[in-house]
Amino acid sequence: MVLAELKNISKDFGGITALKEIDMVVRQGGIHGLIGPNGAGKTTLFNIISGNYDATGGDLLFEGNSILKLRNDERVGLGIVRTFQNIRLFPSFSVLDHVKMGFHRRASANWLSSILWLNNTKKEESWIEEESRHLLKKVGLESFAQQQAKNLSYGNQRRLEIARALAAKPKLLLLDEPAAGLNESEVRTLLEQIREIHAEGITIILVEHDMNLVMEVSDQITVLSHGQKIAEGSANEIRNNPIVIREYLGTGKIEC
Amino acid sequence: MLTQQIINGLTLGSLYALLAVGFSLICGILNMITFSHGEIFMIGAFSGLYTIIALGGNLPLGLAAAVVVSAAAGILTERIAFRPFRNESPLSPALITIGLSISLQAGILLLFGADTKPFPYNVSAHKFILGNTVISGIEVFVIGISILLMIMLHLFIHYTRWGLALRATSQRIEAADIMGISTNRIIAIAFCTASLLAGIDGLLAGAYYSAFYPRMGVAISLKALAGATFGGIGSIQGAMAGALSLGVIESLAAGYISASYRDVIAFTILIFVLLIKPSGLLGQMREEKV
Repeated sequence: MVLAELKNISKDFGGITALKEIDMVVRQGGIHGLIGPNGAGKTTLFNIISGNYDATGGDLLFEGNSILKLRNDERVGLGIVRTFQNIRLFPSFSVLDHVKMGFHRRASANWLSSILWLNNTKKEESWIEEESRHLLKKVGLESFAQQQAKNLSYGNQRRLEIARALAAKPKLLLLDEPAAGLNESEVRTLLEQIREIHAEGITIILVEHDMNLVMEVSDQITVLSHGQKIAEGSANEIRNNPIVIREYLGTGKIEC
Repeated sequence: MLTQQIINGLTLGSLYALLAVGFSLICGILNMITFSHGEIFMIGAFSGLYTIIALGGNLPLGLAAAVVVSAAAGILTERIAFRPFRNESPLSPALITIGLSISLQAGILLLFGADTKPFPYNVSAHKFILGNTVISGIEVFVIGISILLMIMLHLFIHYTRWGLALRATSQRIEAADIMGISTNRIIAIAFCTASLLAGIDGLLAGAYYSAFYPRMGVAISLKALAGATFGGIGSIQGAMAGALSLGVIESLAAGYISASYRDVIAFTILIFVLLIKPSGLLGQMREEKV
């Protein structure tokens, strides 16, 4: 079953083509790897899916509906959640607050009843608190709950980023280079986490430079180069694809 | 005498505070100042007054009318004066709200005339006498309502998901929407909250002074803005503290030094504090806001 579909997506930046007529099908329940050399357009594609950029042309379907006109936050509401290569932290917020923020879209009490603490406001707030602590525990950050997020180590900030994204209950999780800057053992933990998230039925799109990681977890891989899709297939197909080898792996480096 | 002046000062300060937190909410999120907040206060006061007169003295419905009309005016202000200029010079909203404030004053002047309207009920009838201090019922009412609203605002901002979203938007507006927060909605909520507090404040002030007139919001909103700056604009607690201290300082200056120099003395103290601590009493330099 198809969860998301990119049709002919193009993106120009003032005459410079960043993406050219990309077609891509993201299957429900899969892990879709997105690779390519620097400047291939991977992050641009992510930004178009999450709503940070408008596409210049083409269409983007999520669960069968076009979502190109929806704002960032509306896409989060639909279940499209992303993490960032450079973590977006809120300077004075605690670790717990960051996770709680992810729940914003999932609660139902409107702001007026929240001011007056009517209906289920109190119940909902304690539900958010409880679930947030639960998520922190899951990523191993429960002992840091009250600390300021900016004081966390780099590896822990990345974990927080994932907990925050999970709080929004994604259907489609976009992971933007989650392994960047992590050491080997941290990458292994990350791999476990990605598998766990996947096991919960969450579809993942993964942009990553760590080729081993991508090859290991992805069941479908799309290769971009200079804004164009040059190949698509399983890890094995990509490894043996002559165009990929020539254009990309053939540069001598597996990790680009 | 001292307690009397402090009670008067707290009443005055409570009236400033309800406007000051509004300035702080808006400035905390947008880093822009609205200059028509005093007129939102004024139209809240008028709609409250005329509802009370029309319904033969129904105070709760008067307050409700003040809330509804001022909240609507606040949302409208955001739409026409702030949203189109979100990423542009903060001078545009400043100019537009100055224009808006003049138009609103003129509109009310045309509709209801220039004469000062009294509050139709004697609100000072109930008095509490403690030694040589006299506290009137309206003072208790003003201070009580103001404290109640402040507590509600505090709980809202620090203990609900909406408050969290408000704080997130004020810290990093460009990152908040990626968290699923509709920043347009949050900004509208900030204006709505700030404005409904101003509307309630308008009715309270009108009843307290028994005076409703088109320019009733001009001086008090400037004082409230000064109070918010004094306490640390952008911080809600700072705005409350600043507004209350300004009220008490003014009142003490009037009682002990000279009634006609009260503003001069209050503002002199304010300027000195800001010279020593430019971020205000409780303000931190551009960190936690709201």
